[in-house]
Amino acid sequence: MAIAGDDVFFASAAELNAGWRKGDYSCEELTKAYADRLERLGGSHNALALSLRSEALKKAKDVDGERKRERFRGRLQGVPFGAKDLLAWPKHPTTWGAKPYADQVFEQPATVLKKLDAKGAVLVGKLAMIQLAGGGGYRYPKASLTGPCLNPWDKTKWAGGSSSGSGAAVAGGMVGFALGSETSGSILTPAAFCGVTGLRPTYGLVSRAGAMALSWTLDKVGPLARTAEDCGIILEAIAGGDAEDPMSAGKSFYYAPQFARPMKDYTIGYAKVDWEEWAEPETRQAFAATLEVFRSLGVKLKEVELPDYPYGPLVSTILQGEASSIFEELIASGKVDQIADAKQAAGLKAAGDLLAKDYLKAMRVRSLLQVAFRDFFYELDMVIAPTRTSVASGIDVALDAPRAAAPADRKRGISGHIPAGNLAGLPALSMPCGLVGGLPVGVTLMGRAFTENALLAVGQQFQQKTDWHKKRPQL
Amino acid sequence: MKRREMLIAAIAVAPLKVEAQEEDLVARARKSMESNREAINKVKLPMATEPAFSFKA
Repeated sequence: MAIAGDDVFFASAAELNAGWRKGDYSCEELTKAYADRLERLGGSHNALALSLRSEALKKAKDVDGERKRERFRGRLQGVPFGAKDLLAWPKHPTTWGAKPYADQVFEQPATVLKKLDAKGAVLVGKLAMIQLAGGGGYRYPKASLTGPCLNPWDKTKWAGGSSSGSGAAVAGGMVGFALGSETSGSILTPAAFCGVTGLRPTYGLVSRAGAMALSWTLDKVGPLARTAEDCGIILEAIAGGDAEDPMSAGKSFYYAPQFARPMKDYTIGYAKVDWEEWAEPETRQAFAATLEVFRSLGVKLKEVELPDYPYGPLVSTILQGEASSIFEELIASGKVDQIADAKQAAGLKAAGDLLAKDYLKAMRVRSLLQVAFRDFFYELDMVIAPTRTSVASGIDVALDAPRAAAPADRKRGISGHIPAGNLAGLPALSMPCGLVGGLPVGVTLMGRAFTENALLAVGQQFQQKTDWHKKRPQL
Repeated sequence: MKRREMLIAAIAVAPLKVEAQEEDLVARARKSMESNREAINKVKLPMATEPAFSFKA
């Protein structure tokens, strides 16, 4: 049966797998349809780094053969997906989104891609990204080998970064799901700006072997998908201990929605100031409605504030210290000047001057912060906050443009959840929660380490009560 | 000044401008590192606190 209409491009991964198992379409048909769309729309949105059409079609035939033999490998079998171009896939360039690495080819696949391949998921393409995942600090969305990644909801806006292509490709129905990575905001931001569901796993839960390193103590790999349920299914497939990743926690993840506690048992922290003051004025109505949905779920909402630490300076210092070592050769050779953003190149060069004592101080303060977060979550299951306080900015807008200073007496609330959660290694789930002027906004649930099942359970309830995750951009 | 001389003069000046801009960006990045240091130094840190080296979430 041929693929007809657009519905199949906006079905969840679980639905795509169910349709394939039932025989609504073959994996080959599905893969061809997705590859066509990815090449067409991925090209016009600067979301595609590399099409893997021929390999994907070969794999799809094998997967169809498995259906005939009734060899089923779980709920991602037969589902076409894409991967941020910092994950190694043999025989093809893995560019890290940067000109100096445009011809780089690895022999071994990244562990996460090997795992998805074993589950029968079909890799149809490598997806665009901000060069070097943003290391050094970029000024413009065009800081990428493939140019600025355009938001499927409005091509004059940015898709977010650094997992730009992963967000745009899921939003535009170009892949069934995608993998991205986060050092500080690179999954949550494109998920919010593109109106998709993104999961940043607990640090160490998912192997980074075969992924570009930007910061050894901050990097995480995670899914961007259409639903919280899909994120759970994907996380189960990619999580697990890995001797190839020295920071692996050695833990597996079993997605268990059947064991979710009743909603009334969850205590969720929030801060009024995030929704009413930190959020840009035009987004506040959408965020207020979101908070009401959470109230209606029956969860206990408790007003809280994050522990008081300089999260931004800490994450910048640690990232600079580690990135300047990782990219030492790039910087010393002068090849750093080939990258597409002068501010980013300057940031990497300057990072080499960071003093060891400053890096160590940041890491010592991080020890205190981890203890503070254990205490913070003692009487809480999770917190909720707007993922980003604004919608996506224009593709030509400088990301470091000066903003109006916040009033000095404004409470900090949970607004620093992105650098804070990354420093503490905590999991977070971003879900679409509204459209503002035609652009998506997202809400984040962030919890204790290794409590992804709780985040996903509340997330699923939220998505049963809302349909923001089902909205489609006009393409 | 002839057109050709003007062109040569412009080409000769261009790299200097680029260099100056780059120095400016590096200086700004260093300044930002300095303000990060100042913000972190405000945190009271007990002497016995060890860095989060074997970092586990």
